Amino acid sequence: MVGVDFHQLLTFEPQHHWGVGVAIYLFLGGLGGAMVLLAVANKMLLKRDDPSLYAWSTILGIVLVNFGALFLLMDMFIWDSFWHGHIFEILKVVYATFGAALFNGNLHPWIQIGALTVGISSALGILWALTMADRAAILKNISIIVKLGQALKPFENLLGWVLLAFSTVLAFYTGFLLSVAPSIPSWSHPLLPVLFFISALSTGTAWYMLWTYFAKGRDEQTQRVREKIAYQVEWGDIVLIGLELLAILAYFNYLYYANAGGKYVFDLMTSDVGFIGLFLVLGLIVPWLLELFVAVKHSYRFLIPLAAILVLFGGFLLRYYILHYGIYAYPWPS
Amino acid sequence: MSENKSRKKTPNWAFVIDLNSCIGCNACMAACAQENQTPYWAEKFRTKVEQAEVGRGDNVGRIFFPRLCMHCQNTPCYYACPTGATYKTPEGVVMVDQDKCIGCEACVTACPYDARYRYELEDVEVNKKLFGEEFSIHQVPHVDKCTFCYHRITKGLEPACVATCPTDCRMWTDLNNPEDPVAQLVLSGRAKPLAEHLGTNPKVYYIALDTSKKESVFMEAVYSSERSKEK
Ligand code: SF4
Ligand code: SF4
Repeated sequence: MVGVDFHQLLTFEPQHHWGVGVAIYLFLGGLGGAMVLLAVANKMLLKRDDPSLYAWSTILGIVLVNFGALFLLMDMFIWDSFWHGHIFEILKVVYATFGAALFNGNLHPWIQIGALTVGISSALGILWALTMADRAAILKNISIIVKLGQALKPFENLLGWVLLAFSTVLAFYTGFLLSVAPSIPSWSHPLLPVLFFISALSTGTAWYMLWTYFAKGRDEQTQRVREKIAYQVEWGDIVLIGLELLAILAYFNYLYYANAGGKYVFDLMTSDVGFIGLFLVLGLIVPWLLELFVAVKHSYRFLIPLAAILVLFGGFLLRYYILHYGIYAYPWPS
Repeated sequence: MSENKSRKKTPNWAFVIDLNSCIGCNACMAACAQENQTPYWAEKFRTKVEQAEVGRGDNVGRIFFPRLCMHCQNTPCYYACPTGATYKTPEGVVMVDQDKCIGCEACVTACPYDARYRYELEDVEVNKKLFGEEFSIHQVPHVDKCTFCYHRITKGLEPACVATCPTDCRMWTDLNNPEDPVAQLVLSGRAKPLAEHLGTNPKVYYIALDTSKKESVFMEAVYSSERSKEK
């Protein structure tokens, strides 16, 4: 068409509805979910016994998910109501989000599935952690908690298996939260849930790397188990980061070839120094190389906490940049 | 007998926009703002008319692009809404129940056609002052969008923007009535949905700019650009 520039027929517009609060939730939700999933998987599937590690990872994971959910609520809706002193509005939000699922059977939106999963996993996680309270650091000194845990002991396995299923959903669902946005190429991308899931597992693994590095076992046997777990999570993270790099390559390959909107976002993201320098290099490639170096050399273990912190940093930046580059490709001229 | 039967049938409403006849007067936006009490004071509208300059150098023209909620039958906003506030009427009109809406904007991010906006608390207050508490149709903050003027179409009237459009660029029809010339535009495939590849299956159809019509503003720009090249 003579005289008509291609971009005149499409309008690119950044979304400004979901901000940093949602990015914090996506990060903490994935991290917390993965912490619980890895604890319960280690105990139920690999049969490794480290009650302090599992109980505290589960409790902290749940705290992080719920803390993140506060940011989500603030970013999405509660903030305005809060400032306007509309307590009724806040209650309405809570009812509408949980009530619609429970009473109206409205289970198709991912926000709804997420709200239920967070609620159920939190309850199950606390109960499961309590069953290990008699042998877990600090908890074993609080008699009421120990008594509660003993009452729950007969259900330990049942709770564990159900929690395994729910924590899996908890760790992967955040990627689907963004997927219902057909004209935002970086969100409706079919690989986004996979990328977020791998990244969540990697950040969860980073937490285990920090714990096994800093917290020594109370006796020789626990320490031996903990060393085994440390070895497993360090190699596990090397594999996970490798997979994440592959997923990122596939993500960008699809963006580039999918359509004009995808190509536009591809150009923006790959020319962003923050995305490439901070996320890709500092948050992904550098910790990967550090972990590989430690694993191959069997020394320089002091690099492990640094790698773990960089992985956590990268996990947050991934979500931040994906939200930031949520750009609509509208089918009209501008 | 057959006439009675077809009258009872649920209507299959459709909206047709002829891009060749929009002159960018914005009468549709004014009519909609008045009819549906949208916050025009904050520049928020249920329907908009985009405009773009085409051509290069001195040979430029302007094209207009009216848009509104597409009332997608495969409905991203409905799938995203966690509270059931977004729902579909039996005729397929996509609506928002303002009492159930919590303003999470999941629907706004999901909508591929920028058809939704936030009706803020301040907007509700201004609206109540302008139209009176009793007559205000927006009682609480919520996310708002075009309803195809559901309150009008269910009484046999056209949407306000269609009734107002001076060039008949906006047209209204029932696809169950194939004799209607507007329905024929859709059924013949001349009017097409926007961004069909998204699979949203909209109820709004567009007649593309007719590039063979020399008098169209768009083509004036193109022709004059070609002419200047020939010289
Ligand atoms: S155009 Fe947007 S608001 Fe309208 S039905 Fe489609 S997704 Fe929903
Ligand atoms: S803003 Fe309202 S209509 Fe939109 S998804 Fe949230 S609750 Fe549903």
